[in-house]
Amino acid sequence: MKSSTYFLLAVAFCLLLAVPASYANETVLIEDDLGRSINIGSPSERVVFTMENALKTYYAVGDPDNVVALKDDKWMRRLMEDVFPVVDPNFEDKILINITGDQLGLESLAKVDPDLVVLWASSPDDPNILAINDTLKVPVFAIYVTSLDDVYRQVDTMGIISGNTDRASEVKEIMEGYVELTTNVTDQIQESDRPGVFWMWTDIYGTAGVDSGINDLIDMAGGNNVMKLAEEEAQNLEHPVINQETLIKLNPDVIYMWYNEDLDPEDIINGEDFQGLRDINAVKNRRVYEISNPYLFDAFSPRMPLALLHVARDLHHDKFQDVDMNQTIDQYNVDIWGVHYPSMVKA
Amino acid sequence: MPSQTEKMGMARERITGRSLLYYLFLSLPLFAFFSSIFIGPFHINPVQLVDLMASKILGYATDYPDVYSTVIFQVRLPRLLLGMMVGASLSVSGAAFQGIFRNPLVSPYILGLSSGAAFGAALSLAFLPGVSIQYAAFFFSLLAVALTYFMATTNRSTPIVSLVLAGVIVSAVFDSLLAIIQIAVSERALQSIVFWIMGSLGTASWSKIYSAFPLFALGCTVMLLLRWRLNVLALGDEEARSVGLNPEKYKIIFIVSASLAASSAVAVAGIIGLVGLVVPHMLRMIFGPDHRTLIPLSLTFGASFLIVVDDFARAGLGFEVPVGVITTLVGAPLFAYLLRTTRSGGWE
Amino acid sequence: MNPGVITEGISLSYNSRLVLGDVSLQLRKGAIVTLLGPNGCGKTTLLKIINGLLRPDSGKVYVDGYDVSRMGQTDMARLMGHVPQTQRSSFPFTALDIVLTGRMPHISALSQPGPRDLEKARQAMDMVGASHLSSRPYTQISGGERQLVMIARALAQEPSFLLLDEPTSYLDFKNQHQVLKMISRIARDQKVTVVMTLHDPNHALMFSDELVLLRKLTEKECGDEQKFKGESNCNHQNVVAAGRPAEVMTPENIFEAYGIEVEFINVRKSLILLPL
Repeated sequence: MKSSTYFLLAVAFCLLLAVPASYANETVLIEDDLGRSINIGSPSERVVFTMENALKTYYAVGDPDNVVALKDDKWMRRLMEDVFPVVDPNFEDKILINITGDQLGLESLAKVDPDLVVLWASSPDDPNILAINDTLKVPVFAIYVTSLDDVYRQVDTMGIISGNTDRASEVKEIMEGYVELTTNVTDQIQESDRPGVFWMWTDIYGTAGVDSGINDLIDMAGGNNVMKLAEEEAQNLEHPVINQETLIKLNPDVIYMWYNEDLDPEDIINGEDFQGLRDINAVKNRRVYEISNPYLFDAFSPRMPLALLHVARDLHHDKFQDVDMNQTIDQYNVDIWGVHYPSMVKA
Repeated sequence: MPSQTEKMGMARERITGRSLLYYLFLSLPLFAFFSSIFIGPFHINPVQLVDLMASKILGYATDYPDVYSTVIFQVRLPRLLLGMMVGASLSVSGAAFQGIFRNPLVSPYILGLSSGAAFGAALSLAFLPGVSIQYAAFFFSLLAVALTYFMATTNRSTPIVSLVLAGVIVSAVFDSLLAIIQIAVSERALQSIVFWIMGSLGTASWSKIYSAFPLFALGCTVMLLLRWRLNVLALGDEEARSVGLNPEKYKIIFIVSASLAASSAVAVAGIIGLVGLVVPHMLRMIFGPDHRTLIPLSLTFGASFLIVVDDFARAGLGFEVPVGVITTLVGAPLFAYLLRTTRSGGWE
Repeated sequence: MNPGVITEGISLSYNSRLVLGDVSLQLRKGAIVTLLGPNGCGKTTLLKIINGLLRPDSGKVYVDGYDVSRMGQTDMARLMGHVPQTQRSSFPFTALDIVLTGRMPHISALSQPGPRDLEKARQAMDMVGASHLSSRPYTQISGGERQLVMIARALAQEPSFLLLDEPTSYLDFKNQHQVLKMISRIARDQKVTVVMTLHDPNHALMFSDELVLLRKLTEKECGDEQKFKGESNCNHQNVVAAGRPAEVMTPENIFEAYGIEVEFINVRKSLILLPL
């Protein structure tokens, strides 16, 4: 053959090599919730989720096939009864990662060969982060959500991880739209009509500080966190624990309980152990409410707008009378995940 | 001209026995109680408070808001009474244990009592929601003491050293079991466990007082009636036997009654540290080691000490501080001061 | 002979070494009796057996006609007071408080010492000449003063028998003599039978009505090896002699007990023992 032919063949060969390169994933530098910079694929195609709320957000924006494994504990398994097995038909098979208390099983992680691990951590020195970095050399995305803004930001980050940033923007807009269902009403409420609300975590006298996400939720729901009236030292804690006498002093109009397995509002109102609270406005007027379903009305997940509506309806029942809760819940789940609730039928 | 040692002896004679300072210390609970009742986050005018209390005792009507009555009789009063009970039982148990062990570094928790209680509470909080924390803590604290005692007893005798070592082993075992529970539970349950262990009077109620009082009273009464025998035990087992006191019998009696009192305290208030160690030690430095005065003083001073400390815990900051944390922070410098101003810390 | 203390065939082994072998004694009531012998001869052990603090492997002890092994602790404490050799206290009790603990056998179940008990304690301290120590912390007085306090404590029990283990051990030359004189005086005044162990033969000579001379049982004679071999000519008798001092203290007996040669000198009608 002529030398020019060889030259053309060489060029063609080089061009052929370039083709697969163009289909390669981009890697992206992204900041996790703790401010750590990590390099991940966008999309990451073998993601392990050991944090339920991040998973829920991911399922709203990303391709479920990119999720390769989930942690094996009762909280994750509870999601089996939710819309997520419909969104991801292989959900149950992916429950593979061993966990003891807070410690992830490294071997089970290694077995699934992930390219990204998403977990909950409150500091960069978290033992799980350190262990995974040392042994698996896989990027770790730490989730640390404490405010409602963090919930929105999570939608964005899941958009990047899944490569579906357009869908992420769409989801955020849907969420904001549903939030407005509540805030359109509550923004009109006068200061004097806003009830003082004591948020009751499961440790009863533990509540939400003024800088917490719950505090903002209460504001948007048309109430006022009574901790705003408390001593300064208590206000600034994330989860301040007060005592009976302080609660009596704060005299909330409403006591709002996070889902509590051992106690119901009736126990707070009439229970023998809570005799000391009987003079509080909230107890006298029987305005003690509880989040009935912590999975459906979780404020720090994509279902935050539903949680907001739940609280607002209890605080201002008269203003939300014509809201059909069941319909709203169903429509929301369809809009976000494409599944009806509670029928679990794909939309 | 009396020598230095003679002067010290005379000084001690002034204080031991029925001196003015002794009676003052005996009546401290009254002072502590009547100042503490006025303290709390909910502000009530002192005059009105006195009026309200008088009205309950003397039986006349008043027109204060209901909440005043609730705060005083449902919140503050039970908490003060419980605090006095817990402070008294921890202190007197500490005094009794120090006497039996002839050692000033002994606390009521030396025989595994606190480790057992912590394990019981954690077990109930984490896995047995139907079982009351109080009963679980009480049961396991006494179980730990019993295990320690039987481990240390051979041939009808229970040497002090064996008791201490067995206590170390039993505590270690329960601490490990506790660690297993802590690893295996969710963060929320873990938080509750940790808070309980730190020791707090925040959950005080009349029902807790009724349930804890009988065994507290039994344990303290026994120790009070037999307190002089601790003097006899102090010289040694053989010396005690030669004057007709059976040391094994009295060791059991004091261990059981001190454990009953301390366990009932721990069951309702968690593990409040340093009170059982420091209060008797401080009193011994001031009043001498005679248990005839030391035991009653431990009861009264311990009661007063704890409710004064609890005043800070419940009303010092906007949030509830576990009182066990404060007893350590307050008790330690107090102890250090007395240690420096008394020769050899009272032990020579 | 009025038997105060009778022992019949007392034997005791410790760590499979025979300490006391077949000790049979009759000590006269009201006498001052000294148990004498070298270190390890078992005199402290014998004293504790008489007091009921130790149980012999075999044999019986009768004090004032009562079988010690059958006596209740309180009854024994009313009968016999024991003064140990070493005293320690972890607590700075006053001397009076220490002496007061001697009243234990006279105080009923749920009671505390009363004015009468306090009076008896003070009297006991007077008897030993330690009243000036009443308010002093026990841990701050000298070894000899502590010894006096412990003697007073035993006397507060109002015993008929007083057992003292090496009462001269912490005392200087002069005070050794004083204490022994005091013990003799108390024995006579209070009509108390005294059984004490002493290490100085001359003191024993000076102050005893009766003397029991003991020797140490050596390994060679009665260790495990001999028993194993079934040798029955093991001499397990460690009472060399018992009786009046003049009869017991002979150079032959002293040699058997201590293994040294001595000679006796008569000075102003008293016998003094001189090692050669």
